[in-house]
Amino acid sequence: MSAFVDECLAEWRRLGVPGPVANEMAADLAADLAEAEAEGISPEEVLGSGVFDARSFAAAWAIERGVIAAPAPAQPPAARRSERRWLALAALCLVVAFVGLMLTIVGSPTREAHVAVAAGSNLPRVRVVVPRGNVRPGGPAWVGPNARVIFPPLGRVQRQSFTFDVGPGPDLRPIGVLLLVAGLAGAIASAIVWRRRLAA
Amino acid sequence: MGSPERRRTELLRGVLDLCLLAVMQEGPAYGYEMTKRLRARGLSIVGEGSIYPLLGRLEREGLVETYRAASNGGPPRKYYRASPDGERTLADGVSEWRAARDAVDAVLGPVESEVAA
Repeated sequence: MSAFVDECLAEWRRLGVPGPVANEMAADLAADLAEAEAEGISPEEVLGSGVFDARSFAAAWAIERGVIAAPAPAQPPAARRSERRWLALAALCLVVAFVGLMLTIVGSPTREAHVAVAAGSNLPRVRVVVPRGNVRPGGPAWVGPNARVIFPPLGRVQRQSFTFDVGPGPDLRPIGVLLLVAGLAGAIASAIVWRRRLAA
Repeated sequence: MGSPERRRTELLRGVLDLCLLAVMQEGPAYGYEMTKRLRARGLSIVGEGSIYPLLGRLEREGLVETYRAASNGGPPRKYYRASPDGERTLADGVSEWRAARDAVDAVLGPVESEVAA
C-alpha cells in the first residue's frame, strides 16, 4: 500500500498542505496500513471506501483536519446562468446609456463649422466645411435661412467660427437624454441585483 | 437511497464520530487501533468512509486531544483521546441518538413484526 500513501502524499503537497503535517499524516497512514497488513486485514477495512480513490481520500482528510481550505460549494447551473444574465443586462444598459450620451452630444441639428468668406462680393456666398451631419464632408453647402453668420470685415479671406442649421433634421437630444438616464438607471439596478446574487 | 450498503452508510454518517469518541473511552488510541475496537464491537467500516477525515474533524473542533508516543514495537503513532468538550459532545450525542432511535423504533417496530409474521 506504499503506492497509496505516496499518492496521498503527492496530493497533499499539490494541495499545499504544509510539509511537516503532510509527512506526519503519511507516516501515520503508512504505519496503520502496515500493521493491518501484518494482521491480515484488508486495506478496505482500514480505509473504507477511501481505498479506491487516494486523491479524494487525501483531500477529505486534509480539509476535515483544517490544514487546507474547503473548496467553495459549486453553484447550481441555474444560479450561475441567472448571475450571468444580470451581468449581461447591466452591460447592455451601459451600452444604451452610451448611445444616449452620444445622441445628446451629436443629436442637435446645430453645428459649429468654419467658413471662408470671399472678399469683394456684394452678396457674400460662403463655403461651409461641415465636420459631420447631413452635408457631404468637405463639399459645398449653402447656409440656410436659420443660419446665424457673423461675417468678418470684407476685403480679405478669413476663417470664422459660427453656428448654423444644416437642415430640417430631427433634434435627437431628448431621446438621447432619455436613453442616457434609463441606461444608467438600468445598469445600476442590474449591477446591484448581480452583486446580491453573487453574495448570496 | 438505493442499496442496503448505501442506506447503512447514510445511517452511520451521523453517528460515526460518536462511535469514535466512545471507543476512546477505553483509552487513548491511534487510528488503526480505533478501527480494531470498532470491529471488535461489531462495527466494520468496510464500504464506509474512512475514519481518518473524521478524526481530523474531531481534532480541528477540539473534541480530541492528540499526542505522539511509541506503539508496541512499532513506529511512534499519533494517539487520540477525548477532550472535555469531546466528552460532553459524546454524552449529548448519545442522548440524541437514543431519542432518535426510540422514535424510529416506534415507527418501524410494527412493520418489522408484520414482516416477520
